[in-house]
Amino acid sequence: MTALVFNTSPLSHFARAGRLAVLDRLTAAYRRVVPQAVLDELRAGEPMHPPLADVRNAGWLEIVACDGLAELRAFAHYVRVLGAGERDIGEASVLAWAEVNSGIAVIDERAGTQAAQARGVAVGPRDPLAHRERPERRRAAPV
Amino acid sequence: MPAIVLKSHIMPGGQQFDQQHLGQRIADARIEAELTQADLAAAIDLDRTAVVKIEAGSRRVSAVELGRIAAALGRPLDWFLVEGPPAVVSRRTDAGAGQRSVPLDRAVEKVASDVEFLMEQAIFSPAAIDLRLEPPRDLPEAERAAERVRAAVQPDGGPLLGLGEVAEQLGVLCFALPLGDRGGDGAYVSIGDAGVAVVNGNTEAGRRRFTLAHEIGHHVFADEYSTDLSVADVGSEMERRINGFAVHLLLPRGSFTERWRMLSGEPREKAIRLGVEYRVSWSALCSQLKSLGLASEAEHQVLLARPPTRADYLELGMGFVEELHPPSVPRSYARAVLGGYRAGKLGANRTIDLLWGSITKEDLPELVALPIEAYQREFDPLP
Repeated sequence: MTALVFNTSPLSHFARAGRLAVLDRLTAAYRRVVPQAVLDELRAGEPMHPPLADVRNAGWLEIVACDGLAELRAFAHYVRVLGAGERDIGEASVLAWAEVNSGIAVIDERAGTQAAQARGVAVGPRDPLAHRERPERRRAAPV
Repeated sequence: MPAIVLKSHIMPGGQQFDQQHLGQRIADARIEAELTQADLAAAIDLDRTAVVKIEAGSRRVSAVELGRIAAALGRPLDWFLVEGPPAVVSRRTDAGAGQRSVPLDRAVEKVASDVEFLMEQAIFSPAAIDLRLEPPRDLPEAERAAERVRAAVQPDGGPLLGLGEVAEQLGVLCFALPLGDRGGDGAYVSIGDAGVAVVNGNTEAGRRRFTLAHEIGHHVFADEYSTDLSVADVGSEMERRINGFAVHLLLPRGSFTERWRMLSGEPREKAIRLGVEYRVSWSALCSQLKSLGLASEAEHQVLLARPPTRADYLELGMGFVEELHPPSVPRSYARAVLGGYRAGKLGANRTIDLLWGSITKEDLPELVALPIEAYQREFDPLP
């Protein structure tokens, strides 16, 4: 089963809107994965946005450590592209895990998207909900 | 001041890099950082037993943990994983023969790895005039080599101003970094056709230029001797010749002598003027005056004992222009990094990291929005 590997922002958007269950339904056909680094980042945001705690409690999300040597190597590459700030570490883990496990990285950062594509990593829609439910609106109002 | 070969990162006999190697690499870096396993454990919020297991290769390291370990040990993250090239580093530290400087080693390693990465990613390709010379066999040869280099970059004679840019023309990328009191003077490493010089920016301005001139010497002489450590004397003798090269690069016999004779006034005032014009340290200037026969041994001693003061500069209406102020990075390199950022090939934090904090996040150029076609994938259904 192909895995969707979530970065912080898609999870954060759904959680803060109280609609994590919708994301679950929309992506039910996939294995849904979140690297530990992304969870750490979301946890750090909990004091400011308490609904982020829902992500930790979402049983359908599989937590991965990103600790195999191949994953760490890919991770090191992405850190060299993105940097080693807290957000960068999360995003680099998403890309590394997706690369090694043929997953689809669900990210919305520009440099990360280019870095992934340069290494043949599939990058998913920035916002699966907007894509599925409101395609017309998305087309009419490009970013 | 012997040349030193940095520890090689190549695995012996083409072995597979495995968990044990990763653990060993972490242990090496920890020991070099003079931390105990307990220190490291505390710094990265793990039990000491976990660190023991990680170093023994019996426990996996997660991406998050490796990020923390790298930060705690002051190493770039990929250093723990990438089998780098054997980095042959020649260095000069006037602190004493063979003395290592950890901050300098680290800086050289990081700069070399960054430059290599940018070249691999086609973000940066250094361009330079190709000028390589035979290593000098004696001091007169070193002086002739300096003349040839000057002819290529400064055919009019006179002071070599903006030495960082001059170095870049010659294929030496100079990073002046704040390495502190224990940072030595500088070091050189070659990466393909390019050379990288790291100069301790916390040394005095004239000395920084001298260090860079010395590293330029390593570059143009192709520096092959530095791999031969079997005869320690060869290294230090060559270092002495390269110092000779550096002196003559900065203070060339012909035009310097001419300028000295042209100036009127008492010798100390003339010397101060020339120090400002040629942007060299007082000691380098005095010793060149002596070796060119412009000052006797006695005059040299008198001059050396009375270095210029701020009052001297004020009275003469002159200011010492300081080059290679830390942190500074080569211009072509900075341009390439910012270009990489604009093109979305580098993240913001990495861009600042590559520029050694010479700019902040607020200084980063505003990114031009991607063309709409770039978002095509967003409208594609999930595979």
